[in-house]
Amino acid sequence: MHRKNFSGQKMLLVLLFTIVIFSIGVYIGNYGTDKKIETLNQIYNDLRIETQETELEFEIAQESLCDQKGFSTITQNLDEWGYKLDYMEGDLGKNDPTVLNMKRYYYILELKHWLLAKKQLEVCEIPKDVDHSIILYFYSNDGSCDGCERQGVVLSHLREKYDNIKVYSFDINYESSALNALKSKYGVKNEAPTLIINDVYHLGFLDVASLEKYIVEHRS
Amino acid sequence: MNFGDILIYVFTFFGIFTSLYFLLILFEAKSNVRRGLTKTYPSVSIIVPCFNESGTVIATIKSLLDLDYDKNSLHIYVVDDGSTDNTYNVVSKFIKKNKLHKRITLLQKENGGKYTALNHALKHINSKFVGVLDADSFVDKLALRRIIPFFHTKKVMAVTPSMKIYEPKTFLQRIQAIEFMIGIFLRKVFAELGSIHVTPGPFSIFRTKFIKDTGLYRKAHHTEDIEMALRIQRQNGVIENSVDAYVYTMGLEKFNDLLKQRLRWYAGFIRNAYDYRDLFSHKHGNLGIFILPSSFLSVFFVIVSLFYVLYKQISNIVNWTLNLIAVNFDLSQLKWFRFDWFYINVNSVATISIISLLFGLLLLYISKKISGEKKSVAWSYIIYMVVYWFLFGFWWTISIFRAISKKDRGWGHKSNQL
Repeated sequence: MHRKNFSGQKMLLVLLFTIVIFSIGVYIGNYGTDKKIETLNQIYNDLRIETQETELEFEIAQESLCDQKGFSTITQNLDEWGYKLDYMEGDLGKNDPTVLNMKRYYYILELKHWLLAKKQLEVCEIPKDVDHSIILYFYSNDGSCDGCERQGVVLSHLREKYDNIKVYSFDINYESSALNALKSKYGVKNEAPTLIINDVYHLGFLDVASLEKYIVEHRS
Repeated sequence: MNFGDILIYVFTFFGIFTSLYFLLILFEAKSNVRRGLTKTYPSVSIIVPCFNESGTVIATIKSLLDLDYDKNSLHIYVVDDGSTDNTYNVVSKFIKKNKLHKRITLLQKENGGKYTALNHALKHINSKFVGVLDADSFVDKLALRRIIPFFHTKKVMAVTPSMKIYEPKTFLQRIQAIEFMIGIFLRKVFAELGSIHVTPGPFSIFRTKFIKDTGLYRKAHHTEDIEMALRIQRQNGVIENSVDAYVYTMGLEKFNDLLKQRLRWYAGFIRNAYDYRDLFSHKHGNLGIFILPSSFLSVFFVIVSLFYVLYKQISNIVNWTLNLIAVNFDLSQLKWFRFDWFYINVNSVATISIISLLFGLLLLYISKKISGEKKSVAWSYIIYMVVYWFLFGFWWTISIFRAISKKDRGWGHKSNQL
């Protein structure tokens, strides 16, 4: 056969090899992703137990919640899980069933943590300043929210700036009975970014300076 | 899966597929890669077209005189294509001083472009083979003796050499050096597939009869080397490649010169491919079914990915700026990098990209081996990997517009009329 002639057989052979190599790549990639999901599950299990312990501790002795050290460990772990879940959402996509399932767990733990944080404010002698604020943040990542990414950056910035500020983020489009109850409690509509700053409703983006000012003005 | 992921999957699949196919072809062609040195010396003429080349033409002529070939069988035709400098006098003096009248013919004509200079010389040529060497290139001593054995059947109408950049020093020259090195590998593979579609200006050797019988050189959108190759393919002739017949050319130093050269090459390729569109057919085997379509497909992929990456990067910059404004440019609270294995990207897009990169390195290694390059090219390769695809996409995008506009923009630059 003249070498100029096209060989379908050769092409098919190369195509098969390419598919094999490609499949190996996909398999390794999926293995790596599975390992990360395992890590997230592990963090979730640890966090769930820590939260339950703290809840029990609080039931037994209310002042235990005033132990800032113990509470901040759970906060840190919850934050870490949040960051990693965020990363996985970016990696697997927001509609991935694993991500959606984990988000559900995450929101439950966030809500439990939020309730504990509110109780801590009631029980312990905590100053009413910016540092000890509690913010609920409803965002949307379906592309309809212009200010959400920036609002996320502002809230992360505040979390770094103030050691004790607590921010709980929720996807406004996520359907869960607990989340719906929360939204209905504060009259949150399907508009983002929505902020509940120390129980005060605010719709729309706030930069760092405006948010700090807002907290001071509404914190009496 | 977002658009970027789909793009990476398609791009890498295509890249791995073509790399594997080319490697298989090269592996099969082992015995035909080199054919040794000729022991017979058929008559050969080399044309050196010049337009204001007084500074470099003597070095080019000397490299031809130094060729290891029977002196009576090799004749040089220097054509001064209406230079406005003293090219003619410089060459004339050199011939007189060294008594080279029997070996060199100096011709002069009004300026009319490279193809007219070549055709002017061809009127005087009756040798069996003819080649061209631009006045800014020079040949390895054994190049011609390595090329001649590839005319092993009467169907072989042309043999291409391996082109290298002479001592690359600058950033742009290093990129060109790697590009040419990979070009050596590709040309060999294309030869094995009977699909060479460019017979490079510097020192491709042709059967004189073929050129004369098919109507001499044509303007061919200022890329007569592409047109000649496609003409041979249309006539079902064979173009061979002698991988160790080295020709050296000076790498362009200025970005603008390189841009103009590439625009001429690529726009010329598009226009000639359009003129010879009948080659995109199963009748022309690998060339029509795979090589020509995949050349355009790879350009398409590069351009789409270039614009996608640009769009993403511009969006990122806009977002970062807006984020910085939102925090009043206070960088003190930024979360600095904290290493965590979790954030190392190991998903399937990343692993496939790494596999594709490894294939790229393998091809480079083989290109380096096959081109006989001894020096380390690691740094050049890093520069190439980071910058080349961007430049390639940029050059092709403008070239497509140029090709469509159909304006004749001439050579654009004086030197490196390859």
